[in-house]
Amino acid sequence: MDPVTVGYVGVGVLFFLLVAGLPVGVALGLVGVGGMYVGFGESFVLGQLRSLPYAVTSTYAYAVLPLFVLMGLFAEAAGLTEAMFRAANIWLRRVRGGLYQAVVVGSALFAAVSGSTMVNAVVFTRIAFPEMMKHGYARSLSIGAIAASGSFAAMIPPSITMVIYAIITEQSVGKLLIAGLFPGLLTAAVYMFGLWAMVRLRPRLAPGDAARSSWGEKLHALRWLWGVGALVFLVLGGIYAGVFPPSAAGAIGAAGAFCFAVGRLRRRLASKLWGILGDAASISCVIFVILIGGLLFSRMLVVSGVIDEFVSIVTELAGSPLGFLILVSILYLLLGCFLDTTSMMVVTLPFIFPVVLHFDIDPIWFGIILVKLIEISVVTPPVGLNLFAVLGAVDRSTTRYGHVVRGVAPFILLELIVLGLLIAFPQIALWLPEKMIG
Amino acid sequence: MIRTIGRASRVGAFLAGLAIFAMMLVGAADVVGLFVFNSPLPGAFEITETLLVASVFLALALAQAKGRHIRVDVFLRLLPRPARRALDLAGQLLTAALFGLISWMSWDVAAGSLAVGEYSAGLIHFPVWPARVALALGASLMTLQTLADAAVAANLVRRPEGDNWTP
Repeated sequence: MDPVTVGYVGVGVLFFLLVAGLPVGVALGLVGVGGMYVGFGESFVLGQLRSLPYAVTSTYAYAVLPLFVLMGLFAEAAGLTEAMFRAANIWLRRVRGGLYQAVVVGSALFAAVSGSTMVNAVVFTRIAFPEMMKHGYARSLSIGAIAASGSFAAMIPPSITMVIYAIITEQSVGKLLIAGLFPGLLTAAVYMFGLWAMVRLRPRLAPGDAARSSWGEKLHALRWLWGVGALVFLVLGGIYAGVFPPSAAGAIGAAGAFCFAVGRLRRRLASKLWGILGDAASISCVIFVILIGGLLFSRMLVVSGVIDEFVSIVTELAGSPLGFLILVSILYLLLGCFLDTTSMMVVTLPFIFPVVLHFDIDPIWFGIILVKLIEISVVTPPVGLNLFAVLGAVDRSTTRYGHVVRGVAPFILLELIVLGLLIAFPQIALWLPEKMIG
Repeated sequence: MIRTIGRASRVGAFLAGLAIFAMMLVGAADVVGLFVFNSPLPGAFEITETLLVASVFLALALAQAKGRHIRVDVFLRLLPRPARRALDLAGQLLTAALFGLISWMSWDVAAGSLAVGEYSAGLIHFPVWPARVALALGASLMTLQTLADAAVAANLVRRPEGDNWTP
């Protein structure tokens, strides 16, 4: 078989294996190995198997991934999620629809110490949703706000999604992390404005006046946030100023979050510690399996020459960078129905990224657009993965999938506005990383 | 036998967790050393790389036993039970095949590394073999665990009871 045919057959087989429920990393790896074996012989494929798994995991820059995972887990165990939601609530109580705003602000704050959208959404469902129901907030908009705000974690650093994009495309982890800051904050601001407008137009979405919180309460609520703010400043500032690499920043972040966990849980942490470490190891190893499989797969594609053909076909089809972005958007919305964010990137980027380079699109900016698309795809009905995650954490007898679908709809509109802004003004994403020293 | 593999997987995951914690301590000590004592931790870079390899590969097997590896299951849910079980079994055998290959190659590499006493190139001569051995061990454990799961799925052996096998 000539190499290009091998590549095409490989893509078909991959699709079949994924649908058949093989673990994504294994499916990618097997197709990569099989394709290289058929196309280039045994010694080539064995050579790849000797070097690739080690090369991917023995790279200092990638240590940032498990360390960010650990940071988020410690922050969650320390109860920082709840502390942030409470603080946001106390400060925003006087605003009509204050709990909606508190969900947005709390999610954005938590996103600054955690990088997982699903964890973010699930934790807020557990903490904020019952409170919102108790105070008579609209059921579907409440659950929609929580599901949609969860996605901030993918954009606001530390973001695990951003690190994965950086690994696959071999871009600077630090630049991508920093680039996500303003787009993430912009999204939160657009959400807040949108919610304010919705509550203004339809007052029955939120109850009337809530009791004013005293200044004592307000300051008390900030007690933990000073420390968290300092930690976030240290981690992001360190990366921005280039004083230490992202991996060291991850270690500092995790160690800081560990200190919070020790401070708040004291002895209770001891019983939880092994669970947390085990989860961190499991979450990051699962991602690395997909990355290793993905690299075997993409190596097969590159050497088979399929990529070159694909680039010329897509360039012709898309016509312009904007046409290409539209094609990519459609692709991601479809894939979001059944693939998780890591798999989506690993499966598609070997094809898409060469086109990005071909069109001379800035890789950092494209990363931000891609992460935005992924965020949208995991909350887009009918089958957004985060919608199911949120649904898994509520009482199913009163809250149904229909509520989530209706509730999330206005946020998808808001997300599309943000996406439009990011495409129209690339500087929102690129200004900060261009100023970076490191 | 099945039970022993399950225990080994848990030990592996425990070590992987420790490796991540150690990575955190090493990284933090490195930064503190640099800014407070004006001397970074020697070998922090190499230690972190070794720990990263260990943390990833030693955690594989337990993640397999607990069904944590990400897969697309929306289509599987539409199938009748026997078909789903057959696909599960096929998937486990294919997974074992891939990791079997990786184990085979990685033991070969690890043996070579041990024999010549491979050291990292750079300012600090840090031994490479611990990472190579950790990788080979982890991949082998993953292969065994997958085969054990396949044996259970094929009803060749009974699922062990009690031993908190799955969460």
